[in-house]
Amino acid sequence: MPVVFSHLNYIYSIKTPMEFSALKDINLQIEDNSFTMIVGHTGSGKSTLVQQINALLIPTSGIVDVNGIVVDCNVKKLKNIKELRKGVGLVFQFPEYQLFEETVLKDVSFGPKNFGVDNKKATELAKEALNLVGIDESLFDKSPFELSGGQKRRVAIAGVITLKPKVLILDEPTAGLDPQGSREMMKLFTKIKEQGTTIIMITHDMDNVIRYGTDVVVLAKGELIKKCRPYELFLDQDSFNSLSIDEPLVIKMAKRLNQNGYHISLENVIDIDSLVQEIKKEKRYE
Amino acid sequence: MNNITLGKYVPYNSFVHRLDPRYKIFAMILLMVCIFLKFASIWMNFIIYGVLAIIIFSIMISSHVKILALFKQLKMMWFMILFILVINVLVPGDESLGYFQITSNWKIYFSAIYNTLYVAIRLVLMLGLSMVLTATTTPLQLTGALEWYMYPLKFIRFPVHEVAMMISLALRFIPTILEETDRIMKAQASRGVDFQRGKLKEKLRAIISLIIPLFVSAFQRSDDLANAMEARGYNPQAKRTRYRVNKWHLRDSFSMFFILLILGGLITLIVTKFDLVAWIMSICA
Ligand SMILES: Nc1ncnc2c1ncn2[C@@H]1O[C@H](COP(=O)(O)OP(=O)(O)OP(=O)(O)O)[C@@H](O)[C@H]1O
Ligand SMILES: [Mg+2]
Repeated sequence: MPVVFSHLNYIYSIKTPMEFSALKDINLQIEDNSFTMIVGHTGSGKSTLVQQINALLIPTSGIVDVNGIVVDCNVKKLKNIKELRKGVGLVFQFPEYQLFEETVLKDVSFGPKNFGVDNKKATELAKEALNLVGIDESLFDKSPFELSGGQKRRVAIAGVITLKPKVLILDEPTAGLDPQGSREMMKLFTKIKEQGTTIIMITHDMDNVIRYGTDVVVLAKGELIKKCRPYELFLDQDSFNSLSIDEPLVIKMAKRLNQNGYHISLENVIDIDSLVQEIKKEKRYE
Repeated sequence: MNNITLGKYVPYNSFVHRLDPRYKIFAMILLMVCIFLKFASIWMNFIIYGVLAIIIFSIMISSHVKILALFKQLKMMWFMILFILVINVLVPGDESLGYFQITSNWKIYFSAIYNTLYVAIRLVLMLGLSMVLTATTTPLQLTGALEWYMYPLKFIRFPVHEVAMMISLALRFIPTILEETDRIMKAQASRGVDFQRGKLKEKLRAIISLIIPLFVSAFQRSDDLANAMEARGYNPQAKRTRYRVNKWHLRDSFSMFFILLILGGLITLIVTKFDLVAWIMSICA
């Protein structure tokens, strides 16, 4: 499902002294089956932006179009809001705080049940999702509050992907996880993407952006700075310096090699393996 | 969560905002007393209510509290007012004020209607007053003022400081918990929970899905806070100084004088049994 924003503005606490304009004239299209990364300084409006996609926040002006379902400021009571939310799954920052059921399995099947799936089917879907996120069957009947932080995170994510959303939004899903857990999590999202889901992910980790992203969206102070392929972000030194974005290590290395006579195209460098491949190619030409 | 206007501080810089919080509490209590006074006649009561309403509404306007917000709050109280009316109609009232004869043995006394009106007006005015207090005074100022009022209790070994600390901690966490509520509601909403509509059973589930995570995080937070305070050597018995000291200004004396004038005037009216309507009639006659 493509997600299109046009002339979108969002103001928090409108018409009060605390009024704050969090998004300013956003025009953006997120393509179907892309892995779109959203980056930007803290407070730049990333979380605010993604909450417009499933109508948790309603635009102050402008529209969001999710595959034909249009959300704009005139919609007081959105009729197809349930349909919209079924198609768009949103995993919040620190989603482990939304767990509440007695058992892990019950918590994960809570979502499907809300959308009218019967008990048996919901449990089936929940088991499937839990397997996907790598939660062992022995934990299914445990209380979610007895799990470790990382396990809780997985269960919470399973609670959203069990709905099989067409668009999966992730707000800093790897924050606070160990490197190993973080890598596994990213692998999981790639797997979900391969099943045809559009993934939108907010992150501060540029290594993940370059490694997994097909597109990157840069926000600053509520404005859309640019949308491009991840490597393009690092072509122009000045622009990303001013956005205080860190260069991924592999890009840094590739650039250094290029300064020393190599001709590596940054486009192909996404991780160490691909960098090695590029260097090998170069060797062959020599 | 934007519908919670009652009890929310709004940072303007009006005259009322700048008043001493201790005085504001005192003035609110005095004005509430005024609201509950009874005068010589029914018409006199309504006239005084009118005057008080004008005073209170102008205080609200001058301190940027929206009168519309007040009436929005009232929406929830309609049921209560209706209930009071029904009770008043059912109990026998004061015959001297007149009545409607509905059937041969059922009358509706005018006094029932008056009494209900009194309650409704008092509710509106009291709500208005408390909105002014909470909208113009930060929770911290409020507890500071409360602590000051509780000071005499120290002599009977009442733990004034500890209680004040508890109140201010509780108040401090209201915005945090509201934020948390908002977040959890959004998280559950994207899992398909509908907090607005649904059958009773669904509503119950929706509320459980909100309350449990809220409690879990509240306990966690209080644990963290207690540890953090202890780690920094917090000792409830220690003598503490204040960062912000309340200072009595001329404006406080000035508006205190004004409020006392109102109260004094009203009490004089009661004592002298003054009735404006009767007085005007006697002049015209
Ligand atoms: N409920 C709210 N009321 C008022 N202002 C808010 C609210 N939520 C966020 N803001 C403000 O809107 C701006 C954007 O917030 P947002 O949460 O979208 O930032 P973010 O890019 O997700 O930041 P982070 O990387 O820290 O998560 C911030 O300046 C924040 O102060
Ligand atoms: Mg955020």
